[in-house]
Amino acid sequence: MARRPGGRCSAGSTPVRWRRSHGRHRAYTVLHKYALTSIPERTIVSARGKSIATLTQDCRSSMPARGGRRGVAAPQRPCPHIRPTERKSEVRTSSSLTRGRLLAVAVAASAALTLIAATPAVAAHTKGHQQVADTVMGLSGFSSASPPPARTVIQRVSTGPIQVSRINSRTRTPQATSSCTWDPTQTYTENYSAQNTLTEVLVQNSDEPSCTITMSALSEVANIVTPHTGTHNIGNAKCSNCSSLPVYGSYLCSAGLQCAGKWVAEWTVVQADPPGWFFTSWPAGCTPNLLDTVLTCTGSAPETVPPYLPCSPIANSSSLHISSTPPDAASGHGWWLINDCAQTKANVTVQLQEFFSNGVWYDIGSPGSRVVYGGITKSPGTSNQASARVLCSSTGEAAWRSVVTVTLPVQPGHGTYTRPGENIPCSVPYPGAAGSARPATAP
Amino acid sequence: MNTPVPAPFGTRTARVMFTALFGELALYPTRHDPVRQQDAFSLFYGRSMDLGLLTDERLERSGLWGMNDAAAGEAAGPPPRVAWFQVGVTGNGLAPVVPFLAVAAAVITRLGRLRLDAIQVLLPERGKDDRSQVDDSWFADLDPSLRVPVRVTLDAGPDEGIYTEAPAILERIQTQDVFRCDSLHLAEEDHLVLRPIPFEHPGDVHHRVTFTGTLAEWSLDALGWLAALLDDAASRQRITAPLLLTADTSEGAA
Repeated sequence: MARRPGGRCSAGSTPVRWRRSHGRHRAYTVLHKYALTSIPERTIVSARGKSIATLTQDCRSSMPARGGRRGVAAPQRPCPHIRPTERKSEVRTSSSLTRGRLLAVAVAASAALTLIAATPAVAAHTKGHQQVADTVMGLSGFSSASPPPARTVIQRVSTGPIQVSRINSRTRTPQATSSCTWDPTQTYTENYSAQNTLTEVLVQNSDEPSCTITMSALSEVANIVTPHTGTHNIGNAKCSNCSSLPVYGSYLCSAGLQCAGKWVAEWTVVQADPPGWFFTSWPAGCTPNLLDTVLTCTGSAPETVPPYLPCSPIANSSSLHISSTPPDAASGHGWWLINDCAQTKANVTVQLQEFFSNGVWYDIGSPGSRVVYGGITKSPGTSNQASARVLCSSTGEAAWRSVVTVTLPVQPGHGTYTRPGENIPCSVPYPGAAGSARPATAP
Repeated sequence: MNTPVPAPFGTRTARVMFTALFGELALYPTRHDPVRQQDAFSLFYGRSMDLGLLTDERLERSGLWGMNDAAAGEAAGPPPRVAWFQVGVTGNGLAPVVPFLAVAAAVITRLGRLRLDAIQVLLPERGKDDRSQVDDSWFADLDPSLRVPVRVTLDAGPDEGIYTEAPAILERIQTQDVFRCDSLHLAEEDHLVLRPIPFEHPGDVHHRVTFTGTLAEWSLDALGWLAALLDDAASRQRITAPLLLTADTSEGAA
């Protein structure tokens, strides 16, 4: 795949893409915009409480510009910075077009990063667009011995079917019709540490709007949507935050948790028809010009990059026992092991259960619950345990067991453990229908 | 329809082994890392696991006991109870009291400086045919100057058979030299009773006997060995009830 001439990252005009086909000039522009927004409920804050709210930073990477495929000099691209609002791009006509017929004027929008949460306009902008978002998710194992997990999400935006017709100029009736669908795709590769904390996000933009022509003979129509050539890297690990985002190409956000949040890739496709062809139908996301010969379609695909992947905290407990300190009481302590979790504090709950002659375990007493630090490989100290205690009504022997659950506050993670029952000289009466029955399991 | 009643489940019945240390414990300063902060519970659990003594089904560990509870630094008394450890013995046979007290000793050494004045050891119930090989070679070459006078009381709770079997127990323990028993006492005023008595219920009766003599050294190692010796002797004399061993020394404690 041929590389286009590159350019320095500098202020300039928005690119206009041109190509010649069948002696005619065609023009189109595919524009991608990216937006990163914080997600309130996600609290994009590092595990150590460090704020990651700073989002604006100059692009420090050299960003090759997209150039003409056949020697047409590519205009310089603006360096994308974060702006609170979109930056309007200018409309520009390349001087090279003066030698041919101008069929279209590309309208490019910004490459600005927009904070969606603070900019409802973007959300409104995407609303109503015909949009297909296919998500493919792959999660690796959670064992600490496994390589760090990764998550790959493919987002696709489809403009929907666009019908193009050649119309008899005298009768104004369609003579031939074809249709096309643009569906640029974007691949997010989200890498996580062994503790399932986000470390980097690689955004690879496949700005190749594919088009399926319903009538193969209409090669002219097919040429309209000749794909862009591939992507190129414009970001690298030196980018210390997520402020610099590409219009085209790949972008590596290596700022860890700062990369978390909602990303929105937007595409704007400007399409001009060959002479004699007109757009005759289009999806809601497209807007034709007055002559129906230029169509501007937009679409977007949101992706939420989670700061943490789910982890597997290990719930554990002491052997259920009678407390040595009078009065007699069944007692159990619960704790958790951090395992592959990034968060070190979690809510631990211990519930004691007693076995009855009807073959059912019943919750007895109130659960003990605390937010405590987890152990590394063994039990933490008692200050990091939850305990439950039930006074014995008699010293008659009965089976007791404890059910320990651990839930992390932010990172998705939940663990439970039911310790095998112990027969101990302690019993309390049947709790009756008010007790919540649990099916008996083997000890 | 009959109202369900509490019932056992399976055959797994906990046998509790417990020890409490009395005296003075000067705790070492601890680090203030909330994640790695250790205490008697976590140290006992961890040390037991390291030595292969801990049973923890969750972690697929099989050993001699499951962790119940532990604490250190508490002061009640007199004499002050400064630490205690409780486990559930998971195997059959006589309780593994020697490694139990060895782990307790390791934990206490890690926590602080202990002056041990007295000890309680609860030996769980035993079968009539349970036996152990109590070998005194570990203490054979000890400096004789380390030998200390001790008083050891066995409390069999409601089992009054301890009275009739005590002379036979005394005879059995004369075959070794770690604990040289001088006399057997049955009088109430001769017994050593430390409070709180673990697992005591109001109205419980106590049948106690007391041995006095000298111990090769005043240490948790030697006391664990003595407890194992008496546990074995009691089993041979068909004493199956849990025994609370209480010991102190009339000389300077270690």
